[in-house]
Amino acid sequence: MTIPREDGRSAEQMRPIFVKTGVISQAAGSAYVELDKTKVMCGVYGPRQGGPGIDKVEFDRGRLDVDVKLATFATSGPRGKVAQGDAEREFSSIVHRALSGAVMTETFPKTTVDVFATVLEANGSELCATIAAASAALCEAGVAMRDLVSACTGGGADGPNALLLDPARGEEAAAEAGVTLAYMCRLGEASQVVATGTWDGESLDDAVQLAASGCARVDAALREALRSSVPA
Amino acid sequence: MTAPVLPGEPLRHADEVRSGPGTYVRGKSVVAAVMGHARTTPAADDADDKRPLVEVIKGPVVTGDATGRGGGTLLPEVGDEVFARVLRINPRQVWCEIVAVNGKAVNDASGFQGIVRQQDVRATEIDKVDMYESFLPADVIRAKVLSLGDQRSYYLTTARNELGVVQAKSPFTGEPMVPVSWQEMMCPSTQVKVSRKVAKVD
Repeated sequence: MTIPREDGRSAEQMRPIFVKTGVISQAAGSAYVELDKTKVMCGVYGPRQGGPGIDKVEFDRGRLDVDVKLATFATSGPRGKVAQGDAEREFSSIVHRALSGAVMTETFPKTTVDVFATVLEANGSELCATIAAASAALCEAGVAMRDLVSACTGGGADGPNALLLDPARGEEAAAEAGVTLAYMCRLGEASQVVATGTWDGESLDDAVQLAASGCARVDAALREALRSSVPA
Repeated sequence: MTAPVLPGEPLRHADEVRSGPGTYVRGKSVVAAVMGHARTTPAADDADDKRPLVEVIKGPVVTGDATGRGGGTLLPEVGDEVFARVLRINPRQVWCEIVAVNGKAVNDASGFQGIVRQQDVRATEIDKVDMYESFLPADVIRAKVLSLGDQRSYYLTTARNELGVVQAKSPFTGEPMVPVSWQEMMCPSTQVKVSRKVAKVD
């Protein structure tokens, strides 16, 4: 089945992905990820001593703090700062959960690693781009991880029957249902799945499979960019 | 030079090798946890476990170089030699800021705090130690990490000949002082001696 898409892609085709690491000189690790017009910058700092409170220090593991910001110019049209704050909080917690399945916090006890990401332009699938950027930045910072985390979204404009991979902004807005999968490709484990809309078991399965195929593409792009950054 | 490895990539079969820093065991494989180059070190002759150790090292691997620590980030670990700058002092302990671990500078922002307690200053007569005659703020000390310590700090010790104050400034002129014994340093201009727990530097 062919569904006409706004940028002429086929239903199971991703947008071109661009990954660059080492973009913030002060950060321990950083990455910039582009999914066509969706652009995300991410910096990782630490590990540093301590955490939010002296009582919350854990002796057998470290903490991962994630803060995602949407730039005020990230979306076109009127921008409501209040709604944006809610979106940022939800975003941060999803990214945190997606990463915490992979980050080996027992390797940096008593300390905190900070992940700061900024969505510079939001044109659909910014969550996926943020997770990918954060995982590349953590890897560059030398934080021990079980695997790189990639993420991809599968969504249905006409419900779950017509699935689109990596929806752009217009398609995302029109979609009745969507699944975002954070996937550790080498381990074959999902670290986070967020489904919206109405699904039945079978079509959800298809959507997750579709998203996993997108994750494989993201994973390959991350590995290529990171591998070329390792000093010989 | 072997190709760099990335997190999640299997290195060797877990029966053949031991998992070192920067790796973990998943099922029957030793898997990389950080980005870098894999290094295999043969086990020591007297070790019970004869399997070689596999670790992943960030940055260039020099053949035969055993000093670079595997794993990713630079954190003080028990037994590490650290350099620290003394910040505060009271009769029971001194607080200091760890500036280097095993000869490598730590990130300025990490702010690892260390504490040398009175009983860890020297090896003998540990109950007669006067902290103010051992250290003063702004001294640079060489110490070993005793334990991960309390919520805030790592516990450090200077109870060995080669540990203690390595740099202290003269209270009169601000110049670096020269060590004259294990308990005294001298201001080079005024020839006045001040007491410190001095490190024996080769």
